[in-house]
Order: sequence, then C-alpha cells, then structure tokens
Amino acid sequence: MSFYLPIGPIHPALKEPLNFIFKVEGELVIDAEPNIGFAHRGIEKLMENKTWMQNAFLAEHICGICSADHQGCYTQGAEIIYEKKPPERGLFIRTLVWELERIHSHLLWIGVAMHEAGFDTFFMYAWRDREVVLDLFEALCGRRVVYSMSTIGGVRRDLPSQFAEKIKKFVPYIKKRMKVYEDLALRDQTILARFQNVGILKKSDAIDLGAVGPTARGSGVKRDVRYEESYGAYEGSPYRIVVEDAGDSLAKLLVRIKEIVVSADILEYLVDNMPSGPINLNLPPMAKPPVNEAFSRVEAPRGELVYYLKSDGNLKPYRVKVRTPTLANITSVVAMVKGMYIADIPVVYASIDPCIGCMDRVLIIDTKKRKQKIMTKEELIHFSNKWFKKHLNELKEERA
Amino acid sequence: MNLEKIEKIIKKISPEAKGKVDIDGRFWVKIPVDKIRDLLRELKNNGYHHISTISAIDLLEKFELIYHLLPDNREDPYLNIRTEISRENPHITSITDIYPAANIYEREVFDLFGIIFNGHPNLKRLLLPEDVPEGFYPLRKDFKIENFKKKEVKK
Repeated sequence: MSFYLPIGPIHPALKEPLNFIFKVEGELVIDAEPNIGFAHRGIEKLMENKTWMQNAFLAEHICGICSADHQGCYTQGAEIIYEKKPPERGLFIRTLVWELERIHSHLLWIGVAMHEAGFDTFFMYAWRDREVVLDLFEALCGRRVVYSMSTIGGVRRDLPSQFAEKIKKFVPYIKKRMKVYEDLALRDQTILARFQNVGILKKSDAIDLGAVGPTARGSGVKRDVRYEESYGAYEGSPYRIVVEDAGDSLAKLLVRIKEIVVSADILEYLVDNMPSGPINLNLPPMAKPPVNEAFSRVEAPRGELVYYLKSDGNLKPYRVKVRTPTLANITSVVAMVKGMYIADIPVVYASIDPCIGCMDRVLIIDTKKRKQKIMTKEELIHFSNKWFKKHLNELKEERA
Repeated sequence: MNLEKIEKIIKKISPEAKGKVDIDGRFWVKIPVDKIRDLLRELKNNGYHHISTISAIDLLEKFELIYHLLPDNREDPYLNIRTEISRENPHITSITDIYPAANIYEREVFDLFGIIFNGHPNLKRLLLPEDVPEGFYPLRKDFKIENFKKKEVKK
C-alpha cells in the first residue's frame, strides 16, 4: 500500500518555496516529484522594463542569501555588453564580498541542517560564528544582508579604514572554529546517525542530473566555476577545489566546512594583495550599450549561477535569463531521497541547501481511507527526532 | 584550448556553420534545427556532460534557443549553440534522452514561451500555476496582461 505525502509549499523566510509529492510505502520513500514556482515574481520580464543600471539592484533582490553573487554575475555580464573592463581594485573588493558571503551562507546552512537533525547546540555555534561575518558586512557595506556593492564597471564603495585588520583577525578565528566543526562532524554520534549514508547521490547520477556546487562536489564531481574559469580576482588566489567522494549528506557537510577554510585563505590573499587605484569606471547611468550579447557564470554558495544577457542597443536589456543553482539541484533530490525513510526527508532535503522553510506544512493523505492529516514543519521535525530515538540502535547496525 | 577539435565536430555535422569566440573565450555557433540533436549527442561523447541551461529569446519573427554546454575539461571552450524555430509553429524535438538535466529547463521554456518540445516525458507548466488561460506565455514580446480577462470570484 503506497501513500502520497505532499510537503510544502510556501514559507516567506527563504528563497524558492517548493512543494514535493513523495510516494511512500510504509516508512520508505519510493518516488518523489518536485513542484516549484510558488515564489515566481516575474523578475526576468521586469528586467526588460528597467535600465541596465537599475537592473543591478533588481538582480540582487532575486535571492536574499546569495545577493552579491546575483549582482556580481549580472554586472560581470553587463560589463561584457558595454565592452568595459573594471579596474583591478574593484574586482578585488567584489571577490572579497563574494567570499565573505560564501562563509556566511555555508554557516547559515550548517545551522539550519543541524536544527533539522535536532542538534540545536551546533545550530547555536554556527549562527554565533555567522554573526561575526555579518558584523564584517555591516562595517563594509553598512548593511547585514543585500549589500549593493557591485555596479557596472566596478564597486560602489571602497574598503573602510582598518578593514584589512578586521579580516586578519577574523581569518584565524574562523579557521580554528572550522577545526572544531570538522571534529564534531566526524565524531559526534548524533551527526553520524543522521548524516552518514543518508541521501546518497552517485557520481554518475550527479553528472547526468546536472548537479552543481557542493551537491556535485560531495559526490566526487570536480565542478566549480572558480576552478573552470578564473573570473573576478581568483586568478592567482590560493583557491583549491574541495571534493568528497562518499556522496551522502555527511560528505556535503564536510565539503561546506572545508570550503569555508578555503574562502578564509582567499580572503587573506585578497586583503594582502589589494591593489590601489580607482574602484570603478564611473559609467554614466544612462549610457547606452552597443548591440551585443553576453553569458556570465559565477560560483554562488549553492553552485553555478548563470546569466544570459542580450542588448539591442537600447537603454533597457532585450532579454535577461537567470538560472539559479537550486533549479539545477532540485532534480537530484529525487534521486537522493529514493529508498530513504520519511524521517530522513528533512536532512536529505536540506543537504542541497534549498529553502528548507518550504517544509512548513506537510499534508499526509491516506489514499485508501481518504483521511488527511496536516503536520507543520515543527511536528515533522519532532516526529523525525522521536523516530530516530526509537530506531537509533537498529540504524547504527544498518548504516555502519 | 582545443578549439580546432570542437570546430571539426561541428563542421562534420553541419558544414555551413560558422562559429565565433567572444572576449570571454566562449564559443558561439548557429546550427539548423534538424541537426541539433545529432550535434549534442556527438558533443556529449566528446566531453560535454553538463548542460547549464537552455535560453529562449523572442526575436519577433522567430524564436531563438541557445543551449549552454560546459566542458568536463577546462581547456575546452564553453559552448553556446543557438538555433532558430518558427514563431507560428514553435515545435522542436526534446533532448531529455541525451541530457536528463534538460528536463526541467525545457519545461521552463515551454512555460514562459510556449515552445513545445516533442518527446518530452512530462511537459507541464513549471513556474506558472496550471490554471492560467491558454496562450498565457509572459516572456513573449507581444504579451499584454490586458488581453486576459480577470476571473471574477463570486462572494
């Protein structure tokens, strides 16, 4: 007897609320179907009605967590359209914001994933460390989210005084913390029980389904835009690709922890080698671009982010196409969740770093008895944690 | 950069195709509609396993589709393969059997442009709700919201 278990759709806190319909047999998930579009705001159409300069601010409002990457990717493409090259210092500051944002996004994810697994102490650790990054953002941009730093032809603000010292203090601190995190992830029984051998994405599946970012790198696929093409100021930086072969949720957790260390190294390099000079080209906001097209890619915290831009010589773009990393990863969830227990859904679902908030309402329909039961997100997490307490010993043998 | 290798493959499939490299090192090439599947299958066998996305553009008298392909090997160029289809009869054969990842991107193009992908396993609307009126394709240039009547809800 199989049940259908719809999860989702809407939650205002995070990007892309989505709905999943899981087909379950007893406690096992046998199939899943994603259903997206609940937060469709028509931004691609809206961008055709705004000027090139205004769109830089619209682009960053596509996502609240990786806003700098959206803005940076758009402006990087627009610079190809305008055939202008931003000054070195502008590129360095832009890359600095990208890497700080990656640390903040990964820490946010670690906190959320640990909360889903019922390990709230770790959640507090991660979000306390994220607070330090947000304070740095406040000193740099005047805001803690949605930074408005990039513009076509460079960045809008220079580094404040004493900022390099702040980064120098921050880098050893975050590296020390990541050592603690790695120790916890590899040794703690709660994390191992909930993450190890859960939601495995095979390497062949990751390639076929087009997974990107930490989801692909957790399955042993070397796919990272920073590695494939040196954009921004990554040329010459101590960047190294982090790959884990296991493909389970623990591998994705380890990839993110190790990537924070890499990002910290890049931050140190950026402030050490920061060139002097102008930060942008001061393009007039009503400048008309030539007839041109551009394709721009950056590595957002969740994976490859893609913009296609087309200009017909007018003040407004002819076409803007955005592909966010979550859209590329969403089909992988289906492959990951097959054969798992219902209680594993929160962790597997969280492991691609989507908007886990979509789990706010869970509707369980028994097709034979035609009865419905609605669970909130808190109830589902409570159910998962209770279920794991009961089955922990059997699971330990099964997953060892 | 193994540009010659790629150009050779493209020439073999479609002899009249001419490509160009932009300032970012990406390769742009235009291919006739009926050759696109042959070319993509050939490229997949030659180290292009990842499709980034499919972009559609309304050029007023026709639609343009661009397939963005990422090489496995970083020395190979990034490929943007474009093709054109008629606006009156927007049909093209699906590539989901070659690239399973294209499934969701084709659904997105169908949803916003009304381009029909023949042979797609599950061609449903992706972003817009399923009860929008027929012909509601918002990214077409002639789309006007005034053309669609508001549904009155009885109180």
